[in-house]
Amino acid sequence: MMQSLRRSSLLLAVLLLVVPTTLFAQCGVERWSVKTGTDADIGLVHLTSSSNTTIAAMRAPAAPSPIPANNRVAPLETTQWVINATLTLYKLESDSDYHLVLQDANGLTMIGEIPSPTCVGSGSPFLSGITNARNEFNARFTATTSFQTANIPVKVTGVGMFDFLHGQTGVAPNGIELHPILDIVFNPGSSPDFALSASPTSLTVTQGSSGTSTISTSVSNGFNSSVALSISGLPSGVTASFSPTSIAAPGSGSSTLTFTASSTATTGTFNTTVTATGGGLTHTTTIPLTVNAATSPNFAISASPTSLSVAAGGTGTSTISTTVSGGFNSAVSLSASGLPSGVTAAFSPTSIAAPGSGSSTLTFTASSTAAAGTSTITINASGGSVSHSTTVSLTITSGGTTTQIIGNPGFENGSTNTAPWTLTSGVINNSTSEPPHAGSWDAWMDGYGTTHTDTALQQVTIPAAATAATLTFFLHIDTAETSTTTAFDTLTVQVRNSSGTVLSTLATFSNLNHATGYSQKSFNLLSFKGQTIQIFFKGVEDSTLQTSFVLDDVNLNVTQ
Amino acid sequence: MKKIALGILLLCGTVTCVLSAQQQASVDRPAEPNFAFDDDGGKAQIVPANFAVTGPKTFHGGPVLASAQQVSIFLGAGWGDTQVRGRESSLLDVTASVGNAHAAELKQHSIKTLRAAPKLEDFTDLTQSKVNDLTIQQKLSDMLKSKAIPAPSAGTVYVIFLAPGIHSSLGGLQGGVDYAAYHNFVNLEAGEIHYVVVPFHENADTHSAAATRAFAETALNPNGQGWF
Repeated sequence: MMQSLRRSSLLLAVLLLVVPTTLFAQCGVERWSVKTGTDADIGLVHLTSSSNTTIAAMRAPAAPSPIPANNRVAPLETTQWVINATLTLYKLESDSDYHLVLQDANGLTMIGEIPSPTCVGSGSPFLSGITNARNEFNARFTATTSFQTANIPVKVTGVGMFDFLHGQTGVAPNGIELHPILDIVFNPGSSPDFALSASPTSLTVTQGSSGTSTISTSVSNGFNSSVALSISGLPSGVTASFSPTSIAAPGSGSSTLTFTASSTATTGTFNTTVTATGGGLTHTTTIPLTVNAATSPNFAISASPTSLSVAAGGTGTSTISTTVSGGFNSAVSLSASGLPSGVTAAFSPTSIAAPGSGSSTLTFTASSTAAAGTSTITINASGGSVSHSTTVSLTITSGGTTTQIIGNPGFENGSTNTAPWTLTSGVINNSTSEPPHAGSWDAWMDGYGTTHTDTALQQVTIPAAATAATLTFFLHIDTAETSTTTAFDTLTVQVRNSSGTVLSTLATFSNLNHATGYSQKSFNLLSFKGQTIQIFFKGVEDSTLQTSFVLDDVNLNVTQ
Repeated sequence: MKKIALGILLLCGTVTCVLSAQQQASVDRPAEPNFAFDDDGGKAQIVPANFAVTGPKTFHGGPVLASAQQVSIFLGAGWGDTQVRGRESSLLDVTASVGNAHAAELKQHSIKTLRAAPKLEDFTDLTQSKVNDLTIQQKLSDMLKSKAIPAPSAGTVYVIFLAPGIHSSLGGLQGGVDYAAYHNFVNLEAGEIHYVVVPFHENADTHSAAATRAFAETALNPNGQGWF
């Protein structure tokens, strides 16, 4: 009976511990890698030093746009900041963060957040600091899911993070937060302490070699103790040693930390953590260690652009670039092959000087008799017993006297200067909801799902001497109509005279023609040579279910 | 022994209830009516369970969508039931019905409503009975990474219909009790994601009305500083 009671009591205790944990054990999503130090730029964060700042200074810079999801914005997000402020409010969020509102003497606020260590990746260099700050906070306050008032002076240390503005309590106007907070001191005073730093703050070693960093400590406020040093987070195949292994009392001095990578050491970047312990205090600093593979000398070649058009009798250029790796150190000579008849190629310079990294301008010159067509040109590069090649697609076009006479053909003048188009309101669009065929803008006609008419008009004159006149445009149609037989919403394309009288209806499109992407339409307008005409588009939508007619790149090519 | 175990269960149930009640009783609310704190400290606009409105909308200087396109996501095993699944067709394009007041309101603000994108059904995942806003955000992140749903354009609004039996929460608020739907946004690698969460409602009309209103409010107030 007593044994059963003991088991039951144990079960009860476990349940009592588990229930509140499971209520809150969830982590955030938005910029979570940046908030917790597992982002792509974590190696840029300088944790071995810190900078004093103020809430006002943190609020001053404009928020970046866009705010990267998995990268950092220097210097605010790559620096460890120290701020003296008043902690006014705190709360436990559902993402397990402690949300702290920090305020300066002028009433300016910003947010600081202490994530739950259980939500921080084990490889994060922030983990030890977050754990430290969480413990420091827990020792003083108990955060709940409601805001509580503290009004206590604090010295907080943390890394900046731009959050998206969404009505957070205490948020700075630019969204900057200390996120995470790595250390928090309540009623900061003058207790004995020591500081820890490393120089350099990060190291790169190649397999089979070694590198060193000097670990320094300095004491303050009468600290007097030896400081023991240790390291964690080493990758496989790398060893580390301190000389000396501890800093003698009173705790101020330095030690040389040597990393030695074997020839088979795991390559990559790893956050190693130096821990210094003495006088009942522990401080850590993170040293990102990059282990590079021993590589053979090599280079890479690329072309930009990789395709180009040159009119017969004209020239065109592409930039050929080379980059070296593995200690490559040689000049790289360049040549081109596969040139069509009547086309020559010249490099300037003709080779990339040692160590082999640079660029050369490749100029294609087409004679007036060069035949029209597309060729693949191979660019060969060689140097230091290594050869590589890349290709450029070269198109030769025939000469001619064709002129495109539509103004603002791709609507790229934007919505504030639509001339020479005359359009109804709201047609010019750069929303990605209806992306353009090319450029940034298009003409989005209709799409409201209620009774509506949009028009677009441009007046042009086709010369009397024209031998060809072709109207082309790109059209995309999407619709919410489901009918496969009834044209509920229509787009009519007409040629009108300068008075608006319809001379010809070129085509009528409808919801029945909906399709993904754009298709090009083409009409022969040579019969209107010698006339001033209006190119007229009219979109008519009925009372329900939207149809969007999206026009772009309207061209009228006239050949004389 | 059984009595002791039963007692423990009752006690634990009481503890859970007390903790839940403490949570419920201490729910912070923003000053703005029909808003709630979400799970990471921001605000989200809700459609109250009683569909109360707060008077004419006013503009607060922030962005408004130029267009809105519904991408429906039917989430949870409960949608696999044939009878429940039959309701999906009426939810796929919530502003499409003739005379829809919310569609008219969007047009009044020059917001175009695009053809709804194809739906996504996910019956196999999300078997837990409770989901909060962070779960929704993580689910969207996973779906975008796996390309299970189309990448967002400027007007994309993901409308997540929760299956019967899944209880939604937002901050300290409870779906079906405090709200009939809500909308929020999150910034992921795919960009800024606007989404609506609609807990299941037994009444099909109420269910649809909640989704429609939240969808329209997303277009009008995507980031909390538009029309509301």
